[in-house]
Amino acid sequence: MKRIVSVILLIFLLGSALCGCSANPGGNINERLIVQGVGIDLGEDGKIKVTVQVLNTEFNAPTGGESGPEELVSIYKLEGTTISDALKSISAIAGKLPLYSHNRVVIIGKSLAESGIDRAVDFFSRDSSCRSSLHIAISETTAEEIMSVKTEEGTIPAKEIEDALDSAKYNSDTAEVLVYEVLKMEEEQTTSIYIPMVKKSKAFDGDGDRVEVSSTAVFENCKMVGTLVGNETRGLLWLTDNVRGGSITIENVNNAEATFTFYKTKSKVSVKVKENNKLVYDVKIKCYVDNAEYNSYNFHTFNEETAKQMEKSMKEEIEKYSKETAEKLLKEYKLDCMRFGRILFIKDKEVYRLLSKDWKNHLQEIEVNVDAKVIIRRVGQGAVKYA
Amino acid sequence: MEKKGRIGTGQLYALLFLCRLLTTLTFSPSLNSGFSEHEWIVEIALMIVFLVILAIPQYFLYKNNPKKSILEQADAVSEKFSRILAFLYFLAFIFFEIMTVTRFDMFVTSLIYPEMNITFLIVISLFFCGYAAYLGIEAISRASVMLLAVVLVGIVTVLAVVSAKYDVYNNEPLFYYSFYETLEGAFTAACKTSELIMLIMLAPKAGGNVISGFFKWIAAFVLIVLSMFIVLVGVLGDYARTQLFPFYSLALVSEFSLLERMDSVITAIWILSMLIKSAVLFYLSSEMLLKAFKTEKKKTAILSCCVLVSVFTFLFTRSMSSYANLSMGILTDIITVTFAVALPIAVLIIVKVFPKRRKKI
Repeated sequence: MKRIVSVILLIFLLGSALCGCSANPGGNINERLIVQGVGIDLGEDGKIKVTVQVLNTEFNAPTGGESGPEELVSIYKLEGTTISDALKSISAIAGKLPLYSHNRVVIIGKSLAESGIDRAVDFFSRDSSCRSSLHIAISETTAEEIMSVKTEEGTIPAKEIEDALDSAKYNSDTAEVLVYEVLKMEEEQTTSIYIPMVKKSKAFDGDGDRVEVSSTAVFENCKMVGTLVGNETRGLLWLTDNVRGGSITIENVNNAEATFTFYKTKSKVSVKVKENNKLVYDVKIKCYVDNAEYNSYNFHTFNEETAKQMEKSMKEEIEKYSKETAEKLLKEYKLDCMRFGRILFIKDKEVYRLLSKDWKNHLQEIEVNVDAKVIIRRVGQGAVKYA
Repeated sequence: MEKKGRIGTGQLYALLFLCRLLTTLTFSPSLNSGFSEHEWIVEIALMIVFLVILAIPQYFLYKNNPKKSILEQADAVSEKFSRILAFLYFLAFIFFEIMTVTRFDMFVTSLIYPEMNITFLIVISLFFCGYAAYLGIEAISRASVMLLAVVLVGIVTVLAVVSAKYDVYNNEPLFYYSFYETLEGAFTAACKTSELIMLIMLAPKAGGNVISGFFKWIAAFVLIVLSMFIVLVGVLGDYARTQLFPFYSLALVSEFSLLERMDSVITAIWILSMLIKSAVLFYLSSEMLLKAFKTEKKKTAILSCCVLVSVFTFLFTRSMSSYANLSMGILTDIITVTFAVALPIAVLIIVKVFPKRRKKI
């Protein structure tokens, strides 16, 4: 009897683990709308406009097979009071249920970002089928424009956008921010949100479009108030210990130009509380670099003295970017994207308790010192003339 | 060969360890009123003090007669008292069983299959646990030793993978918020350890040094729970507070080299621990029922427990408000204090004041 009962129970229990996709509402995976990217804009009437990029599961490669859709992806444009409200109509249009678990990116239009991104991010954290570890970016124009880009044939535009955002790992010129990180920044009392900005541009071969990360949007209380352009983003990355790759180029050292790749970098921020609760932040940056290129007619000129000069030049450049970015954020925008408030919170909770209530007005009085140390670790395959 | 119904100390604490881990994995700050929104790490560290305090009455009860459970000791004074006590403990175990299953239901229907009705799956799982309970505590504890190894490997893997995203500035300074709230949170965390009540009934069944095993058990589980919270706060920071089940959200954002999205590991651990905890709670509640009604009908008792839990699970998971009422921190606090502290003290006093009264009668 025991055996029979255990076998029956096992059949039921194991059977529940053997179900396929068809048990899910919406059916098998090829019967679902596999969402690749979602763009969110603000409509003229204050409603949310959603542009969804979905995979054409019946798409066939041009080499053969039965005919299917010509494009790898389809675009759906929807509207509603909330994102969910807009998205619910997609199944009525397409006749399929959307599947968000494969979504790669969330793009928010500039106008919505300026009116407040809080309307745009909660869905991606709350809905169980979404992943909160998605890439998020702000469009310089509209999210619709970014979601509708025509990339090279055979590529998924959302994947191209995701790759562009992911490239922050290798270039240290752009910021990489995920949805849950935005929500974390939002939750912190003194921290200001920053999100990379993207724009549409022509593909390198002139055939089709591409999306590139252009700058970084900064926010006050979820509303976009400005941007960091050029080297300012790199400065922010130095200040937040987020430089993970990339290179630095210096000129006019022994009449030569040289490029170094970052091997290992570390930024440490400490805070000192001085008289009248004046805050002084010391940013210590240490980075090891490897020489990738040294354009000189004579390798003998790459000697110990030149190396020191190059280290000094790189140090000055890193310090300059970081300091300029800190000044712009603190003095011009009155924003704390560097999490200075959070650092004070850990270091001196009583001063934080006093200042955090009116943190924005204290930002302008903050003094930031940046001290970078650059060490040339390797010089590549080329010869050098060290003593 | 060991006597039927007896287990080793290692098995006992492996079982309780697995059950306690489930409570941590299912930790939900928004549903745990009493557990503060901040300073979780401090609360977990302080929890150890409250656990030891809560365990003092049962220590004296165990010392009074290591071979006899609280019911047997009460039985020496009055059979009626013992049977009432058994019924009260039955209610407590059923409450914790309902808590375990409803939280599992809430997890599955909120995060895994929101559109699906999982009642059938829950009922089948409960009857599976009921069958495990029927096989006895030896079978459950043997299974728990094996599963504990799997679960620990799973948890360590998830923590290792996700700790690549650890950021020291996600932490909070010690005692920034109200110390009283932190203390209250630590007390609530200790009261969530329903295993203390299970221990009262299971300790007499265990051979070996139960008392030293208790301290090792507390040290081990506080260490692992503390590590889990350190990683949780260090990785998710304030975002963790906004999530219904933060440990699941932690697994969702895990990414290191080729390893990413460890949510399936957390889900598997959750299911395994839930099955073991449910089985042991069914075992205990059916034992209490048998003693309360002085009957030998084990199958009927287990079946009744399964039906009761299925019905209440269905009732409490119908709406978020009914589930929130069930999960009230104060309710668990009262039940734990009553059954782990007050009743053992009462029995101890009665046993000391009226020794062997029943024999005289």
